[in-house]
Amino acid sequence: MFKVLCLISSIFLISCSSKDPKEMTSKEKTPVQPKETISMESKLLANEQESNLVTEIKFDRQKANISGKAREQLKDLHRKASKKGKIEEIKVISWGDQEYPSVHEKKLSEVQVKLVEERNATLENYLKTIEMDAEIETISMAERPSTLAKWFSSDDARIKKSLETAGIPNTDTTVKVPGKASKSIVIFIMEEE
Amino acid sequence: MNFIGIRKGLLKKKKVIIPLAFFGLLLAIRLMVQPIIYKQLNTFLSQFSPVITFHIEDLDINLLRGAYSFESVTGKLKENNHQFLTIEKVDTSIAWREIFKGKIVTDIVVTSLNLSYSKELKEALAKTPKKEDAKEAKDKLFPVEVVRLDIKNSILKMDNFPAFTKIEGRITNLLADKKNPLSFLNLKATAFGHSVLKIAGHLKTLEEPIAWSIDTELQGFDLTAANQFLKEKVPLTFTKGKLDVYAEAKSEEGVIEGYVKPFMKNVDIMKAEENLKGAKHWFIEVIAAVGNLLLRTSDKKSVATLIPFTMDKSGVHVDKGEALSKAIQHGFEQKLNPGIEDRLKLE
Repeated sequence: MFKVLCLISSIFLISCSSKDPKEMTSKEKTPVQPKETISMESKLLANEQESNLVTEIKFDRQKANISGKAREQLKDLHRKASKKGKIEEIKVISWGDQEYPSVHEKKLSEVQVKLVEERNATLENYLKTIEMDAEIETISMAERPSTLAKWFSSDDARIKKSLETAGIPNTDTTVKVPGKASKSIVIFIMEEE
Repeated sequence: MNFIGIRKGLLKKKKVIIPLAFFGLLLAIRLMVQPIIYKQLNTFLSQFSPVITFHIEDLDINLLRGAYSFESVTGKLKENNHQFLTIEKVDTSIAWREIFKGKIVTDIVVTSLNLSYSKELKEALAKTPKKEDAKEAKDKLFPVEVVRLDIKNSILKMDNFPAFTKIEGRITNLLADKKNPLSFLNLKATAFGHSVLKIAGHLKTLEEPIAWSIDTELQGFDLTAANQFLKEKVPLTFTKGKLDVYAEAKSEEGVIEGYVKPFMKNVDIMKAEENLKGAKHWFIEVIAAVGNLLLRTSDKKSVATLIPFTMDKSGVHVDKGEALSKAIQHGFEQKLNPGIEDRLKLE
């Protein structure tokens, strides 16, 4: 950690000492095209489920249909999983266009709740076309778990708690990064022998 | 004679006597066995290594739960009696969920571990016993195979500085097999008092040496918080700045490769009075080569780069050329993307 800090300090100094950025106007910075990678929160959740087969699906705002790219992502994940063995379960965790409700809010608006249901249904229906046998569990991040669910430590409650521990923002968080709004996490869990 | 009444009386007594006898037996076993095991363990822990010694203050056995725990564990260097480790509790219990799968294995929960890592300890560990001796220690302390390890509320100090606090972690599936070869690691900690460090990783414990891959993320690290730690090591101080770091690393067949991708924002550095020239360490040499440029930064600055590295028996090898090239690229051509790149994974 310490050696890395020193190296990056020196790199910083070297780069700052190079040409004045004003002189480089002829070479405009290429706009950022962020590469879609799996967030740490999704990876931490997948590890808790003892799976390394995880992907994130992005939805357009207010829409529940999945893009061609998302289908390819799911098919690719299914291919990797099938090579390993039998898929026991698929977990689908979806957000609306807002972050997870805080302890004060408890539940998002009916519009958001319905949107999440539709997104979960779309993903479930598509997954059933590529995987016939595995059980598919859907979880809505538009509402917090009920007291009963918490008492009995249901899957829904445990996954939501894990995601909060991993650091997902909620509707009260000031800095909503790393945001999960308009996204879904899909985890494939393999059968143990 | 009322034979039915007598028989009922006997039965009632059995319903009371048998459970009482059972619990009595458990209690007797516990009372007899506990001090014997306690003494044997502490003797072993004080003798198994020529340089370090451990001590367990209290041993608790809970037969009903199928568990035992070590309380107030300490570790010291024999040479100077310097204490480098304290653990409030190590609890080992039967993993009841695995019983239904036909396996008798255990879970370990380590609570409030406080480890001070220093140069002294590093040198002592280099002299510690062979792998077989460490295995013997493990077998003695944890005779039943361990399937899951949890760490809670722990601290890692570096050179006496609490670098990482509130450490919470879990490793699962430690008893990997060919069907399920991966073990899973999650770790979360507070770095230098304020920013959050997250690590997600996989291990292949069946391989020799163990293969592993980890993804690391640290966001919003206040560089001024590192000054106290850095001040005795490098002659510069951060007066402001934030750091995000994304890193991946993988080890297969003993060769480690990885990268560190730091993003620094609004950084300002102040040089100390000492002369930078003539320093011995490679990183000081790099700063010395920059020399007087240390004080030239005036505008708000941000920089990112990607530092690839490899590590083998001969040491750490950093591709400084690529790191510099990426920094300049980020500054003037195409921005680097923040985040893990997902390119170093175990097959």
